Amino acid sequence: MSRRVVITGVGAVTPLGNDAPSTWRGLVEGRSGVGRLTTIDTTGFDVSIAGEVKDFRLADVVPGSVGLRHLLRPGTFGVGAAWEALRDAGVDKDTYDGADMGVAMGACVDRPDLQWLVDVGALRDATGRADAFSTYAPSDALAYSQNIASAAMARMLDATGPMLGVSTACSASGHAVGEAFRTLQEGDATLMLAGGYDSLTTWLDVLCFGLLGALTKEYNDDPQRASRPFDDQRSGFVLGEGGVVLVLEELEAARARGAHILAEVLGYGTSLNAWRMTDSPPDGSGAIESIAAAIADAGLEPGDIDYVVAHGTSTPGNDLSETTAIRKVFGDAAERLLISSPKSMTGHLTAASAALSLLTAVGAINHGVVPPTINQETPDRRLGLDFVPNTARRQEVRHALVNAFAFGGTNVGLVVGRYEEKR
Amino acid sequence: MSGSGRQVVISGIGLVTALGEGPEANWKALVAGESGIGPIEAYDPSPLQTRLGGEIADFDATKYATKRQLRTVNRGDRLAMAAARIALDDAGLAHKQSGGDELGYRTGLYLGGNKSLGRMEQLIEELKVIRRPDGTADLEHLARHGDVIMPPLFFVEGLPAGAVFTISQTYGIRGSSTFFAGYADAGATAIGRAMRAVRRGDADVALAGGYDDATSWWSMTLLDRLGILTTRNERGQQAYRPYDRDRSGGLPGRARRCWCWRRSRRRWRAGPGSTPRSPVTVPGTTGARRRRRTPRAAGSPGRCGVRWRTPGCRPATWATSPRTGRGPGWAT
Repeated sequence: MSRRVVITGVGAVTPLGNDAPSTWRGLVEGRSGVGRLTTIDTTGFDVSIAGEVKDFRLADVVPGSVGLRHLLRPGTFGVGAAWEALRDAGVDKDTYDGADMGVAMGACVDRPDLQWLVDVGALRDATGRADAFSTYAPSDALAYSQNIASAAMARMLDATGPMLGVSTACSASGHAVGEAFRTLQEGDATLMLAGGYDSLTTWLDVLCFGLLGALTKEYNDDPQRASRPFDDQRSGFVLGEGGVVLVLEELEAARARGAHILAEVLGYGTSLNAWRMTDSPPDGSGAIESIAAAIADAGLEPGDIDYVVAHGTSTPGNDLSETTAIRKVFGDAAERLLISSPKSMTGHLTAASAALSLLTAVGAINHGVVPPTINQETPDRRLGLDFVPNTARRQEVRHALVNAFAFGGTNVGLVVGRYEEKR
Repeated sequence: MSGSGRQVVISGIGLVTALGEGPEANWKALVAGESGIGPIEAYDPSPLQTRLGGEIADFDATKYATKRQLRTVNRGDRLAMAAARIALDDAGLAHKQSGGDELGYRTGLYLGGNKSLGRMEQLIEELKVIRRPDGTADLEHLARHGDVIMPPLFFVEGLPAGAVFTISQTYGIRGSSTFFAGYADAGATAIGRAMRAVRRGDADVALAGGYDDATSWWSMTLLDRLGILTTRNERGQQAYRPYDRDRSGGLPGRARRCWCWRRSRRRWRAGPGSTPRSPVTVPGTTGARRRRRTPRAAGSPGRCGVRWRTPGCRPATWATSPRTGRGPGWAT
């Protein structure tokens, strides 16, 4: 029998707040964190809105930020969230042996500096050599490594256990939590910091996601109404940013130290669409398998799930595909499911989005409240399920499913449940 | 845990390295002590302190991917596709490209790599039009004319897990998967997680491995000034000398290795020609709490101890202990 795995701490830096409690409050209140995009000058761009983190400085949160100078914007969100999660769990360097603690993080690949690219082009013109280039300073080179932030998290704990860096785009933190879950189940560690961080509010992402037609361009003057998953007037997703990190522990160890257990991780399932790089199949395939695998891994039946934290991006394709998958897996039980999308309030946190969804599930389990999907003004009759429109609903949640899907056709399902001594 | 304890074997190997294409060519070269190290020739490396690498010459990606696929993947992804095909064929697994069916939901795909963005040459060329007379970038011009300036498939090509998608699409692999990002650890982590997935029962077969295009100029711009690569360019093939007293740093290479994991034939009917090559012990990974680039102290074992927790798997039972073999003792 696998070891049981529980969640004992949560940290978050999101467009709704710079810690987990304020993020949760924002989700329950149905508050939008989407506004004007300020990380770049948006003059000339088709899209000028995003769900940005506001007024966050890592140095204000993490004392003695030595060794954190190499972190870029997304990494600071991740490390800030990790710091909060450790405090929330009451964990420090002495809680376990360093070799029993590890890190699993989902994040994204580096983005090249636009001015540097232009400078290389100028160099090529000046030298007449098409292969001329200049090198980065060592500090810049470190900053561009995805795993630098994870290393900073490991140093917080003197952790020398498993280190897993995942880069599966919008499902990355789902994979990271799932692989951390497996790592703990299999006895390779006693504690794992797991989650994700990302900030694709860059010139490259705003431009290229826009060119792909993935971002909504219709709500630049009314940003808080832009992200509207499952609504008939949805027209694309809204970029977001942030970091969400959870402390996962092996149950017996957590109990032995008297940890407050927030929820139990019960199931993990993954699949591949093998369909198109940037689209979800309309028939829900791939998602059907990841959802079914996660529920089966948890030893549950679809009818045991009370709440689905949807991937719900607000693109016409994803929301149709996901709803189709839910209907196929849950059958008649889909009609009584509560389904909501945090992205309606935060925008799409991309690599961190599944971890935010997991925070939402943990909050719902602990507080008996399901956050809404906001901007539900015109129901999409093709979808027709209970997306908890606009207002949070008081509802006991025993088991919740988290969905995460990504460009590249990678799909993740996670099942979490209320902690019960006997299962 | 329905699949716990299933025995896992390696039934196929595919690789493309500076030593050759496929397991036989590489094994022969390894046993003969041949070196794939040489001066970087794909571009002018003069801006670099390190101008050596293990480049792959004469690699023909069209043997492994369609023209349409080649438009959406970078060189690292192409190496991954080649190694995947070689591994599947080596394992005797019939697949879509060999006249078989999709490999389906019971086949997993676990890859690791250090993919950065793709098609940089074209991007740099196209971005010249946004350079103002004073040399600064005109972001507004790019924003207004992005559809003309940006290479259409640049963003798609740059997807970190792009090879995961392309391989899954090519062979109809729909099972469990993850893509691990990192340097030398990423491929090993992927192989370890794939082995666990097969042992646990999440998949019956898994394609697993790592790939990198580390000798590209873009990768070298990031690695070159970190002080981890040898700068003894004058030594040529002699420059890379792990464990030697005169070692001075590592060297990057281009490579893709792919292993095909299966559950043991005792419990799963493998296809014709499938021969388990090796039983598998238990993988371990290790975090680095020390400062980056700082080597571990002599004798410090890192975290390989996690492997010892599996009954019957003790250090003394290992015939050899594979190590990264990088010059200055860079631990992870």
